[in-house]
Amino acid sequence: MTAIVTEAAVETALDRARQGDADAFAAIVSEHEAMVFSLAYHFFNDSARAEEIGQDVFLQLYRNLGSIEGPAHLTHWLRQVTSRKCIDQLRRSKLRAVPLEVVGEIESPARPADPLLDRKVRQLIAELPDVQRMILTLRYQEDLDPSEICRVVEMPVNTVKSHLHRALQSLRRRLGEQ
Amino acid sequence: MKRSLILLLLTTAMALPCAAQQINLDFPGLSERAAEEVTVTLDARMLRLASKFLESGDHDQRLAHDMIQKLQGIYVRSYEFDHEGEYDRSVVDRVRSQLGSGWQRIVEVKSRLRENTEIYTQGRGDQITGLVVITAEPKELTIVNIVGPIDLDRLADLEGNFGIPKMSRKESKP
Amino acid sequence: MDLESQLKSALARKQPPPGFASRVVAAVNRGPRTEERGRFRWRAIAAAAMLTVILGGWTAHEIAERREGERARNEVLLALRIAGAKVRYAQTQVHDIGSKR
Repeated sequence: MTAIVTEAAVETALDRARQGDADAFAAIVSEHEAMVFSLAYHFFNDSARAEEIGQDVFLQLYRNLGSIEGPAHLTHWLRQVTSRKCIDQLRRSKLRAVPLEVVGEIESPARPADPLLDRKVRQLIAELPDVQRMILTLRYQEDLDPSEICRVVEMPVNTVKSHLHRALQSLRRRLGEQ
Repeated sequence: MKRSLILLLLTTAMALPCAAQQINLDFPGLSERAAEEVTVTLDARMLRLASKFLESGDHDQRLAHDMIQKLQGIYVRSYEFDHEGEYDRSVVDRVRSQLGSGWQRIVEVKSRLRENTEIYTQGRGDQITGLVVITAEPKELTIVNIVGPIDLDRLADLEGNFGIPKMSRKESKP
Repeated sequence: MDLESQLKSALARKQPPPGFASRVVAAVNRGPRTEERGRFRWRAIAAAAMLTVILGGWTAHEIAERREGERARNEVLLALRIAGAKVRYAQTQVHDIGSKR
């Protein structure tokens, strides 16, 4: 499976996938799997659940390929559907995010960060209310600003900013207490 | 016309130092007589390409990546023969004759029974800009030519670190 | 490290478990009804053939470059190994001779 390396290549893969090319669709999945999986994983702190959400998202993508307008729309669509599925599923099942101790660590790309601190921060994020948690993840995993986040979660930008502010305040307070 | 002539002279002058550091390793007939042969021919383009595929996550490959960054070429010819006397030692003379002024022999180790090793370097000030290593044993001949700045101590440290099968010619030596 | 940096580090993207993409495609193939699945397969074959013709040059070039690059990498490692061994041997001999005197 050849990696997609340019926007033009994504465009081509989308065209081919719409015509039923399984390899092209698989390439699109490979290109975006980290983003989708991570959004779900950081929301649930559960690898199995994140994979389940990821599969649902891509199945839905496959059924809706005709409505995807291009590479940028694809990325936006994936973020939006993943966020929506995460929050919907959590509310339907009334599950709480699984504490980090129970879950095995997922391998991260090598970075010069403190893995123990990362773990602690993720634990605190897991205890945030679901919408705050998702907005925080979109902000710091995907590097989206509030005006972009509001289009993903379909909320007014001031509501997004308010959620983000409260999430950061809560984390600062909790980290300061530790 | 004059400008293009000056440009030609300048580019020729710039190319000359690199050309002088690279030696001719074409030895007709040697391959046919060798039982085993290792040939490496990597010019600047191939070294840049190789550089992209050396993995930074691997310690040895990272070292190799650092070493080749400014090199213009790596050339190796290594021949192993079934019997003593199967190659003409004048091949070594042919290599030496290419190392004119500017080249300095920094090491010569002679042994009747084991390998004779000569190391030649070409340099600017303290920096080595070219390296030729000739090792000649009764049943083996190896010539290495490295074009570009190289650190001999770092090169010597690399021996045995790469996890690739050893050449099987040195471990048995006393 | 400030909170923003901590959050970026903690929330960095992670790769899913190996084989995720394959499982997705398997789920996609399981999903449609039989006749649709058959149609998908034929369309896939036709599209793959077209894709090979249209993008063949680009894919072949990438594959060729990768092969060449990996070969060059292996040769670099081999050459440095050989050169290092010879230099080290010479240094050892010189050291041994020096220590005997």
